[in-house]
Formats: sequence, structure tokens, C-alpha cells
Amino acid sequence: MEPDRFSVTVPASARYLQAIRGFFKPILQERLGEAAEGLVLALDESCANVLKHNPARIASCGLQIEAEFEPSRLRFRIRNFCANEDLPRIHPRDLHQVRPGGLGTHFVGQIMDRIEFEPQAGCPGVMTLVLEKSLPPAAGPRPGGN
Amino acid sequence: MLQVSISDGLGGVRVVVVSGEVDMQSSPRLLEALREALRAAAALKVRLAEVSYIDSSGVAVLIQGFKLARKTGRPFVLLEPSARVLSVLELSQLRDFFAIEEGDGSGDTRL
Repeated sequence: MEPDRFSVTVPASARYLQAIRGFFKPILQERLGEAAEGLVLALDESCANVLKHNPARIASCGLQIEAEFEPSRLRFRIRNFCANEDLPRIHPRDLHQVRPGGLGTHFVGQIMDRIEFEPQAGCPGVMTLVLEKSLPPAAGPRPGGN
Repeated sequence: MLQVSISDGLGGVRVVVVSGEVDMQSSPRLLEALREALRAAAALKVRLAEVSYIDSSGVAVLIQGFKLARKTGRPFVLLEPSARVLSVLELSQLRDFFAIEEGDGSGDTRL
């Protein structure tokens, strides 16, 4: 069965983070119930990271996010996430330091089962962030796409 | 959409009432409100019962507010945090860092 895919592109501005959450939350809630809240948070944090750290990269193409439901897993893909050379700098901080900043990456790591970076087709040196979550069987793609 | 208001309680306690969603876009407004409220507050409470979403930028603002209050020895309390806020504080391992009043919903702002 083909995975169900949902995608959205918004202009590269924090004002549209709410729109991204509003788009994906009902879909996630329908399929995953209470788990949707955490997934929305992970997605929001990842999008915010792109806006904060790589605004120039997405200025022209916008924030492009895709959710893909396979039988046993959900994948989010956030395109144009970073450059290949940025990867060593991406890590959560020590939570024993109580200070503003650095929490978002920690949240994503706590919520998602896997975090990977894929080379982006057609964009040398650019990475797509892939967030993966294992799913219960009933949450996967639906027959007929519904 | 985030809505923030400041009200005065008894004994110089100021209450910042927050409703809606706190994210990267809206969290600077919350920080500004906390700074404004702290200018003339003996103590500060931040009512979060109507916060339907908060991310790491919102938590960062709460930490900044706490530190600003602590600089001058004033209490900083999270009042009636919503389930969503509590969940994110637990994820941040900050559930026990903040003073939290669960409240009885009466809106009593006494410290």
C-alpha cells in the first residue's frame, strides 16, 4: 500500500508556524490521538530551528514540510534544513544548565524515535531533516486514501 | 494567537494572564509583558490555564522571567498551568524548577 502523504509549504517566517501546526494537528490527532501533541511540538521545534539558524537557505523556497504515513511509521521531512557542514553543530544541550535556549533539539530527540539527515535531491550540500516515529498498526495509510 | 494581559492583585502581586499559543513568533510579546509587569510588582504570577500550546521559546521566556524576578528577590509563580504547559515543563525537566500554584480556578491572586 502506498504511504499517505501530506505536505505544506509556507513562507519562511515564524508567523506561519501556527499554520503548520494547524495543518498537521488534525491529521495527527485523527490517526494517533493523544500522541499528536508531542509530534506537533517536535515538528514545530524543527521548523523553528530552520528559521532561526538558516533563514537565508529557505528565504526563497519557504518552509517545506511533508508527513508520510507508512504502515508502521510516520516520517516528517523538512527540506532545506541545513547545510552538510552544519551537522556537527546540531545537538541538544545539557538540561542541568537551566538557561534559555537549546531546549528545542532536546524535545525533538525525546519525542521522535529517529532523527536523520538525508542529502536533498538536486541540491548538493543541502540536507533534509527526517523525523521518524513508530506507529501502531491502525495509524498507517488508509485504503482508498481515507 | 496569543493574548496577554496584566492585572493587579492584593499586596503588590501582579498577574500576567496568558492565553493562546506561545511559540517563536509570539514568545517575545510574553517576555515584554513579563518585563512590564515586573517593573511595579512585589511578586509576579503568570496564569497559564488558557495556554493551548507552548514550545521551547515559551519555556525560555518563563526561565528569563524567573531570573529577572530573582535578581531583585521577588517571587515568580506559574499559576494554574494547563496540561499542555505541564507536559512541556516535564519534558524540559523543569517541573520542579518553577514555583507552581495549581489554583482552584477562583482567580485568587493572593500570594
